Amino acid sequence: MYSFEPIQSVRLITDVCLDVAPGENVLCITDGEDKMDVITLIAAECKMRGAEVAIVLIEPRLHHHHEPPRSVVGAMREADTVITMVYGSLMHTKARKEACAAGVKFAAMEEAVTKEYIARLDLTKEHLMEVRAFTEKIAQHLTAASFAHLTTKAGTDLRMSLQGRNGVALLPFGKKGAFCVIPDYAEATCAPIESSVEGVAVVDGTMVGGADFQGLVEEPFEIHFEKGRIVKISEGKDARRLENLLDTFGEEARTFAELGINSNPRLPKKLKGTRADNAIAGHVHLGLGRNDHIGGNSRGESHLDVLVTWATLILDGNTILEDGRLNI
Amino acid sequence: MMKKIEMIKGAKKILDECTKVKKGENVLIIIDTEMPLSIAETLAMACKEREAEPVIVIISPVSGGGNYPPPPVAEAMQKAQVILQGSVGIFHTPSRVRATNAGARCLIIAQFSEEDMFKGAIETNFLENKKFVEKLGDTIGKGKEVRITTSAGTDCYLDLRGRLQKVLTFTGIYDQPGDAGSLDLEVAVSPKVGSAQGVIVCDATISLLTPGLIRDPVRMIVKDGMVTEISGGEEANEIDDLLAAMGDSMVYNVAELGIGVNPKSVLRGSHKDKGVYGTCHIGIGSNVTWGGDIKAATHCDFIMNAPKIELDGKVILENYQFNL
Repeated sequence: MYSFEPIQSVRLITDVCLDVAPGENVLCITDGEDKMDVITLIAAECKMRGAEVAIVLIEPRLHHHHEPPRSVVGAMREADTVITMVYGSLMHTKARKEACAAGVKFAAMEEAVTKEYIARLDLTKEHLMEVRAFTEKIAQHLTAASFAHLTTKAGTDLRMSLQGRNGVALLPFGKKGAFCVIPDYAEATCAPIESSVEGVAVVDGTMVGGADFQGLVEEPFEIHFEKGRIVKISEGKDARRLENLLDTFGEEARTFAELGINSNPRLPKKLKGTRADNAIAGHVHLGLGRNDHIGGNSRGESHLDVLVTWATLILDGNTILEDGRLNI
Repeated sequence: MMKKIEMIKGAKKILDECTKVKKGENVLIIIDTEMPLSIAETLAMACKEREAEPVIVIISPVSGGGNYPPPPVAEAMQKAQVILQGSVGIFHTPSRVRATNAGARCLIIAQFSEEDMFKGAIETNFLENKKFVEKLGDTIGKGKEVRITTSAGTDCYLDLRGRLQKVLTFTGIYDQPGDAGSLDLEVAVSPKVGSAQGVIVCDATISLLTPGLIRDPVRMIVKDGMVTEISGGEEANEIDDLLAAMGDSMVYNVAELGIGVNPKSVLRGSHKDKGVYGTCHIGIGSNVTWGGDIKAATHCDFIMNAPKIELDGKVILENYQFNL
């Protein structure tokens, strides 16, 4: 059933998040009938703002780094703004990197952002500004810090050096040459010195990064790191899920890549089993594999995220997060 | 929805007989917002069946002036092996020509309704009809001078000597790299620039004024290869204003003589009318399709009923009968 409710959030996207300008070339990429209502509204709003729009429909990608079709790669590079509502978001593809290198403003809607999500979203410009201030503060703390100690009640205990690495605020605001996740995704993230990561992560949240792979964890398990590499994964069906996926990639997939501090306190706390969970404040997600998009040295072909819930994070002796309560 | 059952016939014909889509090929299906998405979806389904990769692009209908597709779409075209072009106005553009010169095959499906996917022009046996179309193309290609007359008042002379070499033959079969055309089968030639002289009376259809058949014939005076005067009724005023508003003097360039050769095409007041067997049309504006460098703001076709065409003094077409 067609709903006109999404228009409010769609306006927020084209206005606050992306500031679509007259004369811009906007490319909206999607992969399903169920997404066309929202994409059509976005395209209409862009046209209203004087932009030139093209909607592109592709077949759903098989996993998060499955490249788009060749004609779409070229099209992305020539656009001013690219908005995606596709499985996998296209964020972790070479095509996206090439487009950003060419100055494209790239904005992705994650899987959890369905037509219903957009229709029910109760988000305002003020909310977005709050989340921005918050996230940037955490990012500043990450930049200033030399050392991070992450623990959870479930048993996570990781230490790592952040020396010389900058915190990156990932916000739902578009910028030329960069990517963002709209409309309400926020995290402050940092690529630690890869070889410095030691300890154990007890994964009890969501895992994302592949088609059959992604979802909630039913049997929490351990990942042991030495010198930033996975040396052991414990037992259990979710542990095996991760192990099986890692086996399909090269060695670089087993590098600790990212310390991601989820930073949107307005999102409902319940985990959904999708990438959107990586924005729910109070939890922390850890990246494995590629991290050159946030200033790290790892260039593998994969990037997977695993979530640890209700975290305690101490940066250079300052407790930033305590059992999931942000303390800044 | 149920039309999809019928449309699959046309999709099969388009992908097999007309463009010979192969496994692994990138097929770009470009439609505009006035075309039913169901047509693109049916074509995409048929692509998948043949293990080719379909991409559907939806853009706003291209307006009369500035017919180039938006840069992202122009770029997408360069990387496709097959382009199914549903958006009007892309065919006679440099970016389309660049794509086909680089080896893409392009079939025009512009202004298709769902019926067009299984009724009318698409019903012709293109392989059988090909020989005749090529013979006509050959004949025109060897011609030196053409005179077109109609009972409505057309009397126009064109010099074919010193013209752009390419003779467009739309057979409906576009399965080789660089092939491009529509199912509105025609043979079209670009006369020597500056040579057209006389009067054109358009009494069937004007491509920029579609949909709709012409009620009051539009009379155009042609001098030294350019349309210098347009007169008639409402439609004449409309096309006169439309062309003037483009602010480009080259839109008046007589760029084309085309002859319709699809026995299944029906005159309906759409740009597809140019394929109607035994009609002819004069195209004005861009000549890039023939390799020329006139990149005008538009290319507009004026279709005439029951023309008599004399090639080097011999009547090759009269009253919908060809004499080759």
